[in-house]
Formats: sequence, C-alpha cells, structure tokens
Amino acid sequence: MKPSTFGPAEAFHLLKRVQFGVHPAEVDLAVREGLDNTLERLLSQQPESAEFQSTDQALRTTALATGNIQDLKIWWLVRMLTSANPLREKLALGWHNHFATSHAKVQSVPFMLAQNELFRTHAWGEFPALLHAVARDPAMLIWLDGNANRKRHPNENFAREVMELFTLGIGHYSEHDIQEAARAFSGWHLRDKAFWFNATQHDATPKTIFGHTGNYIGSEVLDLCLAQPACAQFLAGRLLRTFVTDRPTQSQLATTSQLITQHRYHIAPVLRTIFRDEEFFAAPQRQAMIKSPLDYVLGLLRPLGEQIHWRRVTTVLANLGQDLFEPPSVKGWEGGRHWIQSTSLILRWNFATEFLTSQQIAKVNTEAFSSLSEVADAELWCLGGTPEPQVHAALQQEWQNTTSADSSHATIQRLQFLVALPEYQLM
Amino acid sequence: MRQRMGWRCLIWCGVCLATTAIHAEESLTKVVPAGAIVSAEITDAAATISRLKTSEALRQATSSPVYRTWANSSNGRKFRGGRALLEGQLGMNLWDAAERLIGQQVLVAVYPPSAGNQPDGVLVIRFETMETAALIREKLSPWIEISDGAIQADERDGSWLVQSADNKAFGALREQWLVISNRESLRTAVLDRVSKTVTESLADSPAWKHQTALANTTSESRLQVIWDSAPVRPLLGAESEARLLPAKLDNPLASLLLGGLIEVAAKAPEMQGALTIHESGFVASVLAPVGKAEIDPAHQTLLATAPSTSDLITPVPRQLASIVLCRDWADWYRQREALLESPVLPEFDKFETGLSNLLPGKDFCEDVLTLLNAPITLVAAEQTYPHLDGRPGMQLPAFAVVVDLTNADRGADLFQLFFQTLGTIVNIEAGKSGRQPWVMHSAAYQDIPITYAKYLDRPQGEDLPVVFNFQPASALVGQKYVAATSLELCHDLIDVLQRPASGGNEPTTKNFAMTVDPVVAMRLLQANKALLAARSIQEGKTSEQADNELSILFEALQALQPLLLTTDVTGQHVELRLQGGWK
Repeated sequence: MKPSTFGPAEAFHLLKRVQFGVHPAEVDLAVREGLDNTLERLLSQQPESAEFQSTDQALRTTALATGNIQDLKIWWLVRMLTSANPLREKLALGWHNHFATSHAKVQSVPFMLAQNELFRTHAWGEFPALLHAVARDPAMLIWLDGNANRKRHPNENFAREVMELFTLGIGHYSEHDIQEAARAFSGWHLRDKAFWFNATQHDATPKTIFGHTGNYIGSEVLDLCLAQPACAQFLAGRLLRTFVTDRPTQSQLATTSQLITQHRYHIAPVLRTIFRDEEFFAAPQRQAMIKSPLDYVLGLLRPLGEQIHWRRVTTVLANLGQDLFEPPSVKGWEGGRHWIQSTSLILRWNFATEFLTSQQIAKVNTEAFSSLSEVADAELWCLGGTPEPQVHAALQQEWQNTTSADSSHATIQRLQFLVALPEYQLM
Repeated sequence: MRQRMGWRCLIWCGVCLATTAIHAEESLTKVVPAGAIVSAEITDAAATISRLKTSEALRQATSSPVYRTWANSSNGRKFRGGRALLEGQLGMNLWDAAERLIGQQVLVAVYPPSAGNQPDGVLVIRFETMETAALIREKLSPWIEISDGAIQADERDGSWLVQSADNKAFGALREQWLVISNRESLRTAVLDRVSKTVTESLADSPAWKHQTALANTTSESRLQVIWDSAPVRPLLGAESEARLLPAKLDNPLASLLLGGLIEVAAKAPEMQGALTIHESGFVASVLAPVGKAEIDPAHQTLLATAPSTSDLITPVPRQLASIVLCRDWADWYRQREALLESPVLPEFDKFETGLSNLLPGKDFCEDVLTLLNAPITLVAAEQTYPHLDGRPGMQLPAFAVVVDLTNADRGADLFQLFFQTLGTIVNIEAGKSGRQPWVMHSAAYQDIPITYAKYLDRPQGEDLPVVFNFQPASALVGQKYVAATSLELCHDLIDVLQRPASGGNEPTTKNFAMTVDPVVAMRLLQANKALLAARSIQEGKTSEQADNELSILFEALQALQPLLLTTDVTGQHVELRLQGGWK
C-alpha cells in the first residue's frame, strides 16, 4: 500500500536510502515529481551530463593506465557522488559487498573495473544473469581460486561461497552438496584474461546436488541454487539490509522473498514495490539504519562539498573501515552495528570537523543549507525529522548560542553540532 | 654565525635585485665608488620591456581564462584600481613609465657597512633625457610638501637632494641621473663622480676589469652582475679563512651534480653573472676565474671533461632530453669521504653489501667504476611503440644510458650481467602479479648485436598498462655500452653512434650538458592529457578547469625553443651557461 503522503520528510527518507547523501534540491525535485515518478526516474537509466562523462572517462583511463587501485577508488567515488543514476551506484556497491572480491588478491585494476561494470550493468536487472556472469568473471576466478579447481583435486572455494554467501546462506546445503558442486565447477579457469572452460580439467562424471543427480556443469549448479526456496529468502535479506533495515523481521523477509520469486529475481520491480510500500516509510524504519562510512562521508560531501580532494577521502574511508575494492573478507562488510566502534566514532567526528573547519578535504559551500536558521529545518535535513525531546531542546539551545551576523559561519557551527550527535550516525 | 647568514642573505638579495645601466665604455660602474661586494647593472631594458608589452605570450596570458578569473577576483580588482591610481598620478601607463624610468641604464651596488650591521647600498639610474628627472621632481614635490617634515628637500650644487628625517634614505636628482642610497656619504660619492670631480670608481677595481675581460661582454648584454669576495672576507674577522660555502655535502646526488661548482664558487675571488636577452631568446651565464688545477684533488674528480666532441652524442629522433655528465668516476668514489658528510657514508656500505649479491667477490669501485670513462650520457625520447598494437594509457618517454668503456669486452660482459639479472627479477615479479613475462631475444641491427626483451604475446589494445612502455634492450657500439628501456631508442642510439661526429674529434671543455625540448615535452603531455586532467580532478578541479589549465601549458611549451644548460671547465675558468628561446 502506498504511503498517504509524500512530503519532504518522506522524500528525504527515500533518497537517503537509495543514494549517497542528499542535497536539499533533490528533495524538492522528488516532492514535485511525486513518489511514483521519482521511483521511475531512479530505476531507469538517466542521461549523464557532458561534465560527468568527461570526468568519468578521464578518471577511468587514469586508473587503467596507472594500474593503481587508488585511482579506481576515486573513479567510483566520483560516480557515486555525481552520477545522474545514484541508485545504480548504490546497487553496484551492494553487489560488490554481496560478491565481495578484493584487489588485495586479484591485483588487477582492469579485472576489478570489469567486475564493477558487471555489477552496474546488472544492478537492477535479473539476479540469475548477474550470478552467472560473476561465476565467469576473471576477478572472481582469481579471488576464489578457479584455476586451482581441477578434476583430480577439486577446489571447493567457489562452490562453498556460491551456496553460503551468494545464494542460499548457511543451513541450506550440506558439505556433500559443496563437494559435488566443486566437481561441477572444475575446469572453470582463466586463460588470456578471460573465462575458459578447460574440458580436460572438468569432472564430467555424475554429481548429486540437493538430491538431484546429473552430469552437471557449473552453470547448472547455479540454476539449482536459484531454484532453492532459500535463495529468494537469502537475497531478500541482502536487499532489506541494504535499503530498509539492519535487522529485517521474518515477516519482512517472507514478504520480500515472495516478491523476488514472483518477479523471477528481477530486482527493479522488487525494489519499486519495497519503496512504494507504506511500511518503508513507517516511523520504525526511519533513522533505523547505521550509516556506512560511505553514507556518512558522501552524505556530508554531497550537499556541502566543492573542489573535493579525493585522495584524502579514500584515506578517510579506509580508516573508517570501508575501503572500496578491498573488502575485509569473502563475507564483505558486516555493516550495521559493526560500523560504529569507539575509534571509528571518533574518526567520524574528526573527519566532519576537519571537513567543516578546514579546506583540507574540500571547500565547504553552505548555500544549500541556508534554511538551517530554523531548528525544524535542521532536524529535517540532518536527522530526518523531529528527534527525541532532549535532543530537540539541545538543538534549540545551540541555535540560540550560534546566532551570528555571518550566516555561513553560524551554519558551519550548527552543522558541527549536528554531525556530532549520535542521531546523525543514523539514516 | 647568524650575522654571517644575514650577510649572505643581503648579498644574495643584492644580486637578485640587480638592475642597472652600462656599456663597457659607458658603464655606470664609473659613477660608483670601488669596494662593492656585488654590483648589478642592466642596459637597454627598454627594448625588452617594449618587446614584452607587445608580445603574443602576454596577449595570450591576459586573455586566458585563468587570468580573467583572477582579474575579476577581489585581488584582481584591487590591482586594477591601484594601477589606475598610479597611472593617473604618473600621467602615463605603467609600461611607458617602466620604459622611461628603468629603460636606459640602471645599477645597484652593495657595499660593506660603514656603520652598524646593515650593508650600504646605492641605486643609480640614468634616464634617456633630463625631462624624465624633471617629471619625477614635479611629481614628488607635492608629496614632500605634505609629508610634514618626514622628507626634506634641498637644492645644492645643481642637484635636487631629498632625505628622510630619520636619515635612513637619501636621494638625488641631477640632470638625467637619479641616485638613491641608505648612506649620505655614498650618495655624495656618486654625485662627485657624476660631476667628474672624482674619477676613481668601481670600474677601475681589479675584479671588474678581470671579469669584463673574461666575459667578453658585448653591447647586447642586458644584465651584468659582479660578485667580489675581497671586501667580504675582512668582515668575517676571525673567520676570514672560513669558507663561505661548505666543502662537503650531505646529499650524494647533489654532491655528484653540484659539488664541483660549489667548490669553484667557494674558491673564486670574484664571479660574474650575465643575462642577455635577444629578440627570440636569452643566454644566462655565471663565470668564475678558477682553473681546475686550483681545486683540491677530491673536487677535481667532479670537474672532468669529455675527451672529444665525438663523446657528445648527437640528438636522436624525437629526443625529449639528454644529459652528459663527466666525472672521474672511480676517483670520485674513492674520495667520497672528502666530498660527503660522514652521516651519509654508511649508505655506501649498504649499497656495496647489496651489490655483492650480484657480483660476489668483486669491488664496485675497482671492478666496475674503473671500467668507465668520464662521460655518461642519459637520453629520454618520445616513443612510437612499434612493439605494441596500440598504446599504453600512460605514455612515458623511453630512457637510455650510454657509458663509455675503458675495456669494451670486460665492461660489456659486466653490464650485460646486470641487464640479464634485472630482466630475470622483473620476470619473477611479473609472474607474481599476473603480468606478461619477457623473453630475452638477440638480433642484429646495423651489424650490431642487440639483446632485448620481447613480450610473450604481442600486446594489443588502447590504454594498455603502464608496464608496456618498457621493452629493455642493450648493445655494445664500439667502446660504448647502450642500455635502453625501449628497443626503438636502442636502435636510434646505434644509428647516432655509428654516424661520424659532425664536429670531428676536437677536444672539448664540456663537464656537463643538458638539453630539453619543450615541444617534445608538450607532445608527451598531450598524449597523457586525460591522466593529467584526472589528477587535477582528483584534487578538486572540474574537468573544464583542468582542460583549460592544460591548454595554457601546452601553448606555453609550444612557444618555447629547446633549453640548453652546460658547464665548461678550462685551465683558467669554469662557466655555467643556460640558453633558451621562444618562437
């Protein structure tokens, strides 16, 4: 059921979840367009500006030319912040986390870029197509030791992760299923920088997986996984944790997995339904997720940053625990409460203070926040709505203390106060 | 020590501020007293000012987006306002004012202090006509009237004299002369010489006569600076024997490149600098009348020269830059303790220990450096990538080193060992990171055997990784061993080395020579434009801003002629010379 109203608060809530940071002008646009049109825009490919295209091309070429992963990180960060298709970028990050692959082992910028483009191409498309493409992706073949999987010595790495992390989750397969699936993936190798089916190293004997027996090859194993009821539920959990809540309920999981099955793993209609649902906008879902470092850092830079020094930003993100293209393990980033620890919270404050008070990270433009003269506006733009009474009182006090003839200076003082609030760590 | 440092700074400032007028026969040194530590004079600056005023480069600079942005900024508006006020006061634009005021002859001289610690200084300007002096007096008089005694004026012996009430500044206008000094006695001394009542002058000092004779000054000279250490040394008191510059450096590379010149400067009783500006170029030189034999043996190793012109390699096609460095390599290494500060010496021991893994039982100095004659040539050239079907995303120049061997067979084997070992190490690293390995090949080019690395598969595609800029190759051409990062450059160097030297086999005095071709540099930068733009974007600029800045840089480089920096060493003097030009 659609929400009864779609005002600034609702638009702000939606945009915070589907992109990295929100500019007040984007909220105005969404309110003018209405929920359906906004979703249509977000879930369809929008033309990119000439400035974006030239910047993107220059940064992409540089990353390939230098082979330096830092350059690729900057390329993606600039896309996240400036693309006309922010949801596609957020989904690309979601799939990067789902199929977590690290440059630390792959050691190839072209492969990491190609995999990233794969996530972007299939961002809101059909999950089975993405899964099949990832299984043949050179970066993934290196990451999970494809070339080591030979018929006489099957390597179980990829087969295990396909079931545990990519499709089913723990408890929905047996060790025997993994062993048999590994045999099906034997001979899925990398040659001359591309997927190669090495027939001489493929075990063509019958395998029994999930109780079915046949001369399965790898792609058939993927189809068997996709046919398991647990797969839709597993994917539902991933989508809900990315866009809706850090702790999805059984009811939410059941509803979303039903949607996924109904739409045959086509992600766009599933997301459209989730974002049109009244429950998505319900009070318990607002400010219910802990901001990832990317949401936090880009959330400040999007409305306030100009002339951004991107190398500093990549360093900050790595220190905060979200180093793009270098997730900590095959499980990706845990997210949720793991984002906030005693040291990382201090690092977040330090970043915000440095950003707002120096020109070291970016030039601060407070123009978009001229309306921060009102406490209510500040609560909306920075906290998503009216906070707890004691926080509201503290804000009012701070607003009285920071009245200044220099509105820009006052805005920065107030923003410093706002971003230091625990509530600002939520979205 | 602090006082001495202050002195050095003041002297250096004096050199940098140099401006004055002179022809050999009409030098303004004839109107200032002898004993100057530094004197600097400019002749006929009007021609240069006029050329600059109407130059295409200035037009391009002032019409560039960067300048327009600055001109519309707060600082730009202040500048324009200040300039308008000044021009209104002078009654002419600043270009014309500069031509009239400093366009003929200008001289600055710095003397030891007659009192206190501040050196004495004098500025002398000779205008083209007396009307300029009259104009200055006319413009200044009202300001003196309203200065409430802070500046006093007086008419005496045909001179209009002004001085500050605190006796810190003294000026004079007489006929077409302007004199400004911080000492009244110095102003008087200049006026006495202007009126010919005194004839002894700086032009009669030995340093001046010596230097002008050595420098072969012509009427084209625009700026001439003389440094005379004789007046300084007594000021150092007990430290009179102390060196003005250190004998040992704490950076081996700086010592290797500059150690010889620094020692020459320390030993030189006087030095001369000259800057000549032509219609399409300039020549700047610094000359010290110190012969190689006057320097200690350790520093002499840094003042070696190329034996003959045939050792100076002629340019290869698409050459970006070249450096010829002449040193007595083995002696330099043996005498490093006399040239370098002790804290850096352990680094040599570490280096030798590391090298022993490659050359067990050999000594770097006695077994390697003794194989080298004085000149080592480094060459950088643009690549056309014949070994690729495509281009690397980052296009680097190819580099090569050419060493002149005392024993060709022995030297070639030794350097070939380095070359092959390096290739093996790189191949192991390539395997670790999934890159293409090299296969070592042999081939003949112009009947010269070449060893070169070939990629297992011919690389294809645009925006190839940076590593494909490299295809190492080596060859022995006569007595010269060539090691290049590209086979193409190795071929080009073989062509050049086999060609008879155009200058014959004449002895040379070249100790160092460096050339840079700005147009080739521009082509290389253009080939990497996307990368350069990306670096700017990563630092917060928009792609449009980055493109505009790069366009200005490309235009500037396109307008320049090759730059040449040389050092010549003879039995009588050492000269450092920089030559450049524009189109």
